Amino acid sequence: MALLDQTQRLISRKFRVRGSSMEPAFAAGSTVVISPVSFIWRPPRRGEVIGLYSPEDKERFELKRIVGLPGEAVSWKGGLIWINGQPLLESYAIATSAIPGEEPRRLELGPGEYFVVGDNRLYSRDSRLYGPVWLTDIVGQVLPSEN
Amino acid sequence: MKLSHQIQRFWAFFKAPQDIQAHCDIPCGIYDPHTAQIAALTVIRMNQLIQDLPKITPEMSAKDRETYMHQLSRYVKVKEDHAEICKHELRVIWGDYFKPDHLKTFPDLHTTFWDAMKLASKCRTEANLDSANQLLAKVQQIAEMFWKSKGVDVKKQPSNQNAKGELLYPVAK
Repeated sequence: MALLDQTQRLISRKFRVRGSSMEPAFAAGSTVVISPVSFIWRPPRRGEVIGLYSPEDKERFELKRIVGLPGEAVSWKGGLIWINGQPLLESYAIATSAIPGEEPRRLELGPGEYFVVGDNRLYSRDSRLYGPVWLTDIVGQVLPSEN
Repeated sequence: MKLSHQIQRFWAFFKAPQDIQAHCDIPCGIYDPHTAQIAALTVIRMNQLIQDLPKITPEMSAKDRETYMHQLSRYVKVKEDHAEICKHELRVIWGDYFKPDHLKTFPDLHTTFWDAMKLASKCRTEANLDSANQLLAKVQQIAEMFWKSKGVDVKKQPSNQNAKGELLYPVAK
């Protein structure tokens, strides 16, 4: 594990966060370290924060969190999310309740498809709007802070 | 994952910009096709004004020609701008509001949007009142689908604008 961690740190880059859609964990102006090594041997996992190219604009490099994995059914209403009908408990999220009258939405993820969201749900444009992202759009994992 | 994808990932990683976006786009869920209708009505009005301009003649004074050119340029510019506003508004409703589920109720949804976008482009490239009228009719078709998807009835009523014609409104339940 130590060797993998060293390799990830060695092949990594620092990025500056723009915008507040990943608050409170990642504030605007803060720095994240991303490595493309993590997903060579294993697929991304739920709860991991990743760097990806937006399916809406392939030039836009985004910071999001994975909540839905391939083969799962994701439902959402406002900022609240259910996976296969079970509510997702997210201590990291600022989830808002639904707008009155808002209907729940549902999406079944196919092979290689992931559902990504911003932690600051009210201020995030993510899979709730642009749909699933492909494994091939996911560039790397945000590494835990060394501090 | 294939080796080619891994290579792509590393390439994408190293070419990524220094700033990573956690942008704050508020998904408010508020959409309304009214702006697209107003833009289409403006395109109609600009075509009417272009048609009503006095025909240019060899006898016209330099001052009258200057006035003519100035007015024509303004009308054409506003026509262009509002045809583009109409396209923008339709794109937002098409891409952000409507979802695959809506196709069950409105199987011709994509064709209707596609036709409207093509008509709006035609309204930009030509000074053609017929196309502008067709654009408004197509936008109203979309507005009707939009409100029906929310279970809201619609009605047409006079625009009460110089362009005449009608606009489509949701009816209060």
